[in-house]
Amino acid sequence: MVDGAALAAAFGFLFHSLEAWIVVPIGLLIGLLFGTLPGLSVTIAMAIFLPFSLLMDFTSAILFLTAIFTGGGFGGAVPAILVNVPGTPSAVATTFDGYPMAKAGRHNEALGIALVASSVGVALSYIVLLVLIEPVAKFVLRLGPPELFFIAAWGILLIAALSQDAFLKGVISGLIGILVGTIGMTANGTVRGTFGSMYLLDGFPSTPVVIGLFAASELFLLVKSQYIIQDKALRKVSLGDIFSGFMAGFRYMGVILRGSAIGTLIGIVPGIGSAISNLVSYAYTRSRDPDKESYGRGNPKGVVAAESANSSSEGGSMVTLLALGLPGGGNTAVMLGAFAMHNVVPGTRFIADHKDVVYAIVLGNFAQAVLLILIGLPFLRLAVSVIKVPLKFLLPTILILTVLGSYALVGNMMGPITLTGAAILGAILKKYNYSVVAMVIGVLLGSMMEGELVRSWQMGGRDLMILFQRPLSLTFFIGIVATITWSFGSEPLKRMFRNWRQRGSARAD
Amino acid sequence: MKLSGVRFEGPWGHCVLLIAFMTFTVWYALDSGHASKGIRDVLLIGPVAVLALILCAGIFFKEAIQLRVRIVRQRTHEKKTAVDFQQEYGVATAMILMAVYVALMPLIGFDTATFLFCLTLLVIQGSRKIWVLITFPAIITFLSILSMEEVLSVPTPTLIMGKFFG
Repeated sequence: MVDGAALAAAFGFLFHSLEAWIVVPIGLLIGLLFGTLPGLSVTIAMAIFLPFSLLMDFTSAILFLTAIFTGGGFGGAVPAILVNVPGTPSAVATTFDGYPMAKAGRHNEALGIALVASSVGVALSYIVLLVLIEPVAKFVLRLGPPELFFIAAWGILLIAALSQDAFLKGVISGLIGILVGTIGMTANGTVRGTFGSMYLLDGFPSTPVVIGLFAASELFLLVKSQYIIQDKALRKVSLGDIFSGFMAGFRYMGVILRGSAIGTLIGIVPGIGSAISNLVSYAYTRSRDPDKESYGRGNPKGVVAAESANSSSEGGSMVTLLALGLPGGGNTAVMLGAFAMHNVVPGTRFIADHKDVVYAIVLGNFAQAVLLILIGLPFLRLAVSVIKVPLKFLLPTILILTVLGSYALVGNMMGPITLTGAAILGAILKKYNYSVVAMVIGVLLGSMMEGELVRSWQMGGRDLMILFQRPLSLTFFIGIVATITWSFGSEPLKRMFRNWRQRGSARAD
Repeated sequence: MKLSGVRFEGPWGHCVLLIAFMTFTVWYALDSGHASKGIRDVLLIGPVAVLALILCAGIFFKEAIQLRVRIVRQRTHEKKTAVDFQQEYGVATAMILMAVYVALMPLIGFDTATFLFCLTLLVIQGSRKIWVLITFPAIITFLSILSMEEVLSVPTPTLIMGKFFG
């Protein structure tokens, strides 16, 4: 499956000049910075620096942009862990256990663990790219509108199932999120729910919604505290502790491998992306662990599952971009722009004719995974210092950054307005135990779900039975039914099983 | 001080939230139905809205039977200290403050609104030194607007700082 000659040529590509080795560390730093600042996004960073890629050769340009992607994928974990604000939408699940670890004074350990999970996740996803790009591309082509619709619906239900004792509330959150996600103009020009405003024709901007909903209750709650970590003795910054956390992360290789597999698979599916993969990986890891109660309270495996998945989805999305020419989300759409600027058309022809370039991109990204560690560790040493800053200075700074960042992202007041509305809504949802995550997924996927459902209906000759007639979509539908059954029925089933065993033991006595 | 009053007991807030969800769902479904040019525009919205309404109504009726209204004969007032205000009303105040900040941004300029927002949050969180209350918001405002204009090249409506940008 790996072409030896092309691989040898790829090494030649990478080492014939120093250009790639200069731009990659710069890209990683840019990504780390933009990922760390809530309100800004990796997509903004890639879009801002895209014109610079014209000055580079094609391989260096792609490596520069993927370096930003990689840096940002990890950078979002830093505020997620330290202040419970995901720097990027793909770091949402990192907050679940990362922030409790930080509050307990284990911030150095959490960041070190996140770094190893991210680095290994990136490396593993590019192994998949190297070995399996062609068979995976063929599998992706089999995913049609019915499959994509059910994958999105299943993702929302899995997230709702995370809050076992409030499953129905989680479903309501997801459904409301789907409705909000469909606000705007449809493909055939119908305008829905815009209040007559032209700024809502594209719907609510997704990044301010995500940052607003998640930043909400914790940022506002921080008004009541003096420091992120109340105990002064625990507020230490130590490169040694970060490194120890990094080494400790290798103890969770099983979780890293699983998270990387989930992230890569989900990253391959166009339109879903890393914002979903980290949540699915977290939900799956928690469901498999006998100690479920520890999740959400500072279990390192939660951080590992989230970070390995969000980083590995990069490699997965590159499979779809290179093999099919389909951008999986905003980041790969920017990379498609880089392809266009260099007069390169991705797709099966590109892979067949330029396998050496594909391999050079893969090998370059392996190197990025190592460089992320070398650059990330000192970066973390600086970033962790934020826990020593009193919240009276930190809180206004973060809030202002998120508001202005959302303005920069959207280009008009819709960004800050959406952010503020989502922040207040998020605080209310958390107060009444509604799943903010399910609502976010609904908002992110609502428009996509509608598009896939309409296409399925058209494919089926204006009949939706096609959803249940294809083997893959039927499989996903069975998964949905199983998730609902398990969420409602797991406790009664367990009780029935326990009673049956007790009756059996009593009869034996 | 003795006052007559009314006390609301039970999940009133939750019921209000459910009513808000149901109101939004009905409004959006009707708006979509009115605007739609065919079934494809409501293919997903219709079933999602119906399911959301059923679930919301189910939870609402379960919660509503716990609602109570009591007449309270007398109340005493306690004097609130600054710390009490931060603990009891800090969260709600921060939320309102953020909404006011965003509302004022296009009216009085991003720089002025940012400065005032930062200053007010510092006061709520207990900061009282004048030099801190002036210097820190000024630095944050300057750096953030500068980054927007020069680094991100995003034109930012300002009242005072605009004179420094081309």
